[in-house]
Amino acid sequence: MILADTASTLGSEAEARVPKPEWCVIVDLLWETNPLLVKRIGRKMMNYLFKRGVKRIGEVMADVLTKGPTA
Amino acid sequence: MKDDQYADNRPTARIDYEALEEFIDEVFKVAEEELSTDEITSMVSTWLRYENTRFLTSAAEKRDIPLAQISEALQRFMMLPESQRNLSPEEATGIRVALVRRFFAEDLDYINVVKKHVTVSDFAAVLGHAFGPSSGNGKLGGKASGLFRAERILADAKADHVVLRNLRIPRSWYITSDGILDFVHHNALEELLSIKYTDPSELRQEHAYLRQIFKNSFLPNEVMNGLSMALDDFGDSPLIVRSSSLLEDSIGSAFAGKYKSFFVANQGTKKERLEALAEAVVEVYASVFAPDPIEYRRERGLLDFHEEMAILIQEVVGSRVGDYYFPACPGSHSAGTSSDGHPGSAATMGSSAL
Repeated sequence: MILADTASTLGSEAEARVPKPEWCVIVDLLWETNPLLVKRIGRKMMNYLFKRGVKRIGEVMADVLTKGPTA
Repeated sequence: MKDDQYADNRPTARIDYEALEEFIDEVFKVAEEELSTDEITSMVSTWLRYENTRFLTSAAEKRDIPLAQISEALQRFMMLPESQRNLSPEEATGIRVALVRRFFAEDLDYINVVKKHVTVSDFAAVLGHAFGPSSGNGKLGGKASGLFRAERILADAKADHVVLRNLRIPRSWYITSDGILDFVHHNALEELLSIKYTDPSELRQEHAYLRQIFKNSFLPNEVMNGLSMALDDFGDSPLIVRSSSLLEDSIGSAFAGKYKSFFVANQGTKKERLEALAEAVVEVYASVFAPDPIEYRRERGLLDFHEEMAILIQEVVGSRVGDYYFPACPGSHSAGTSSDGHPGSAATMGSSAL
C-alpha cells in the first residue's frame, strides 16, 4: 500500500517535471490574469484551425456550442 | 405538433459561461494534437503582439471619439517602434474605415476607394495638423476629404508614373468642422444658427452687417493656439484659407463658389500674421450664413442639414517677385473660391501685394 502510494507520488512528480510548451504556460497564466484575452486568442486559434483544414475543430464546435441549454 | 417545428425561429439556447471556457480549452487541446509546438507558439506570439496595439482599435471604433483622444491614440501608435506596430489585417482595415468615417465621410463610395489607398500613419499625419475643440467630434469637411482622397491615390500612383514623382501636395492644416459651433457659442451668436429660415430678401439685406459682427468676434483660445502652431509651421509663406464644409463637394451639391476662400499674404510680425489669419477664418465662417449658399441649400432641400464648416489652410505654391507673389498655377474664376484642389488658382493672388 505504502509502495503503491509512493509510486503514484513519484509518477505525478515525474509528470510534473515534463516541461509544458511555452505557449501553454502563457495560456495558463492568461487564464488567471486576463481570461478575456484567452478567449480572443482562443477564437483566433479556432479560426486558424478551420483555415488549416482541421476537421476536428468543427466537431468540437458542434458538440459544445449546439448541445442545448446547460444553464 | 412536434416541439422543434418552430426551432428555426426560436432564439438559440444559451450555454453557460463555464462551458464557453471549456470550449476554448478544447480548442487549444485540438491545436496541441494537430499542430506542432512551434506553430502554436508562433501563432500565439503573433496574436499577443496584436494586443499591444489594441488601444488603437478600441479608440478608432468609438463613434464620435473626441479629437484629442483619437489624436493621442494615433500618436501613441506612431511612437511605437515600427516592429511593434502590429495590426491584424482585419483590424487594420477596421481602423482605416473607422477613421475615414470619423474624419472624412460616411459615404460608402468614398470609403470603398479611400480605404484601399490609406495607411494608419496617413491619418496620424493629417491629425497632427488638425485642431479644433479638443472634446469635439468635428470632421474635416468635403474639400479636405476630396484632397485627402486625391493625395492618397496620387501617392500610390507615383510608383508607376514617372510624371507624378515630383508632385507635391501643399502643406496643409485643418480646423475641424465643429470649430464654427464653438465660435458661435463663444460669442453668444446662437440665434444665427436658425437664420437660414429667414426670408431670403431679409437675409440678403442684413448679411453685410452680420459679416462685420463676425469680424468683431473672437475665436476661442484653443483655435487661436492651433492657428499659432500652424503659423510656426508655415513660416511666412503666403496662405489660402479655404472653406471645407460638410455639405461641400458632396454628390449633387458641389457648392462651387458658394462658400469663401481667402488669400492671406502672411507677412509682418507673428501677432499681425495671426490676426490676419484669424480674420480670414472668421470670414469663412460668416459665409455659412450668407444668402447665396443658404439659397443654394434651400433649392436642393438641404436647409435642414446640420451644416458645419471645417477650414483648410494651405501654403500657396508659387514664387515671390519683389512685392508680389505669383502662384504656380493660377486658375480663373470669379468668386474667389477654388474647387479644383489647387490653392494657387484664386484669381486675386496673381496681383496680391505682399
